[in-house]
Amino acid sequence: MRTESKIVYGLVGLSALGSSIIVGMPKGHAQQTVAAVEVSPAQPELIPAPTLSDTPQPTDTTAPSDATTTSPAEPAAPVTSEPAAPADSTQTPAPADPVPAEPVATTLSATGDAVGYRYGVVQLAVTATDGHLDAIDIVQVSVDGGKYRAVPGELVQRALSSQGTGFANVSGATFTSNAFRQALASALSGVGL
Amino acid sequence: MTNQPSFTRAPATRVEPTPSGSIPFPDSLISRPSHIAHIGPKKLVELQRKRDAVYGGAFLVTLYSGLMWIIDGGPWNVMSIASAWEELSKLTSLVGTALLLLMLLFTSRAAWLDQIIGHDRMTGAHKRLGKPAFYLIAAHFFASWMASVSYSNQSAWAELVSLTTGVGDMILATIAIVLMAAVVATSIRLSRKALSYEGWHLVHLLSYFSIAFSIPHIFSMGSDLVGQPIHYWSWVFGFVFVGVNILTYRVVLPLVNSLSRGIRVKSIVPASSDSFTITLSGTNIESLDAHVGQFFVLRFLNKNLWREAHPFSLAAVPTNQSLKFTVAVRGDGTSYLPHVPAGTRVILEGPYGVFTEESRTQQHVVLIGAGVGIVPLRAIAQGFASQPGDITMIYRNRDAEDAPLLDDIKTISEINGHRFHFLPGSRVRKGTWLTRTRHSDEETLLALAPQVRKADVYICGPISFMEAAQETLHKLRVPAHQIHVEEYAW
Repeated sequence: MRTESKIVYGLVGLSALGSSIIVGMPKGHAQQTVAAVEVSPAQPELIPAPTLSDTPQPTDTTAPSDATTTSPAEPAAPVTSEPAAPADSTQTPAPADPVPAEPVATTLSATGDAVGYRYGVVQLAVTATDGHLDAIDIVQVSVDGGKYRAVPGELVQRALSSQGTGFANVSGATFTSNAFRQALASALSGVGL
Repeated sequence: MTNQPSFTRAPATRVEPTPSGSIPFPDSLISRPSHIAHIGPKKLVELQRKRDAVYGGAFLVTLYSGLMWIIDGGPWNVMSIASAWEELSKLTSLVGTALLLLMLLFTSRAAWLDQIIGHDRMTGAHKRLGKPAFYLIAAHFFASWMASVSYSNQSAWAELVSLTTGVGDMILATIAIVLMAAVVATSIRLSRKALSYEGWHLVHLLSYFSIAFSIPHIFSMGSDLVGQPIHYWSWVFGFVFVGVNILTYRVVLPLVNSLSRGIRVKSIVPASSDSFTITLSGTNIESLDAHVGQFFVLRFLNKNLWREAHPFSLAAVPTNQSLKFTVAVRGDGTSYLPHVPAGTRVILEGPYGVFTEESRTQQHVVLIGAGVGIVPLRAIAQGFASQPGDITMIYRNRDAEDAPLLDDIKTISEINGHRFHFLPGSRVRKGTWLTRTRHSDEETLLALAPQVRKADVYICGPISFMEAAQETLHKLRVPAHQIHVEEYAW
């Protein structure tokens, strides 16, 4: 390669490098490193609040309204004693008879196990009426950085439209998708789906 | 400059046209009439600019792949050991994949690329990129394994199993990297010596599967492509572009060009004790736009040979109905040649190479050849535009009695007024290329070709011979851009 060409392509390369650093640098990066105690872009980010549900969800302690749930911190410890189910389930409205009367729509809800994965934890709660999956509530989910914030919501939509775990992965978010699927399977087994 | 073959020194072999109008000496001796060659430094500068654009483009593509990682915030994500491994895995995968795509492009034998940098430089670039590309992909694999280990509390081996078999398209990606390792292992110099060309080539074909198997995990798991439509579509474009080039230039065009012209073996006759001249027949061959100094890759379509393809240099100016090649028969590969029956269909890939008049900048030309390396030079001597005395030809061969094409070249030289020197005998010692005299190679070359400093020099022969000849030319201060070598780069 001729020297003048080397200089030209070198300069083009250098300016591309410079501009991509400017584009790539996280906004407010300087402040964040000073004050970053809880959330830094590198560490898996915990999205604490349920995003797509109007059902009240427990935060740290068990606060069941009509649904029995487990605390996210202790997913294995059931509050009520129903030993057979892997996750707890209650029936609403709850007649004493476990077999519901035919015309009465039975709504079941359950919270699955917290599934640990590469970037943290996924735990889901589901509500189903007569075998139809009505809602998926995110109890807790961690994602890898800000641009993945939308991934759990997208996964909820995909799971609802596929009515189960047979949905496609969100591309670029394979680990989260797989953990979500596992967490969903755990929750679904609680409502017998 | 117009080629006007001068007959001032009437050659002994020249015979007046017979009454029927046919010419008694072989048609391969006829030069193309009114052939025009452009010489001068301008086209050289143009060619260099194009070459720099190719290499500069390759550099920028590689850089862009790394910049994707920076644009995606990669450097700022490194906050822990685990995230450091993860970011390393991303960066190495991006740059490694870019190098792989460039490697594939350089081996696609695309005509537009071949005309700019030539086949041997393309193969050279392909080889040079091989190791860095593989090391980067191997580092990508190792780093993503280490990231998994750091993120989880499982043992390293358990993580390896779940990474390679469990997640997404990773099973395919694992097969891909194993295939890639096999390709690299069989291509390093040590194992290349132990393997036959066919064995090596068979394993090398696995690299296409390797790339194909790796594609799903790139697009399903490539986190640097998330939310970056420009990056996403650049990669799609890159894969499609390279794929289309390979398919076009290695499969579609050779088949279409050869079958539509009905290329078949016309005859195969001995040119010396260990070389043969192959004549192919067909129609409309001039439209292939083949020039002297170029070569084709030939594949004979018969039951035993269709898998093998070998590069053959044009031995004569192509006519519209025929192509001539002369090849040495050496051990493996080409020993079948004498037994290929006439009429066998042939698939041609090519023409390839810039060992042609395209790289000529001077009126004077010096051709230096050894052994069967004389073949493309014989074609050049026949086909280059020249006036008597413009072309000097030096032919080295160990054996005075058994030199391929010797009589043929003598005839061409006499007809066209070339200066021809045949120097038989073995080499004096390592590092020299001329025969024993009291003088150095430089002095001898100057005596044989006094105009060498103002000439384009075309060299073809064994690698050690070409290196020694180039050394001599450098000592004589022949400008580097006037020296053209043709290496059979396979």
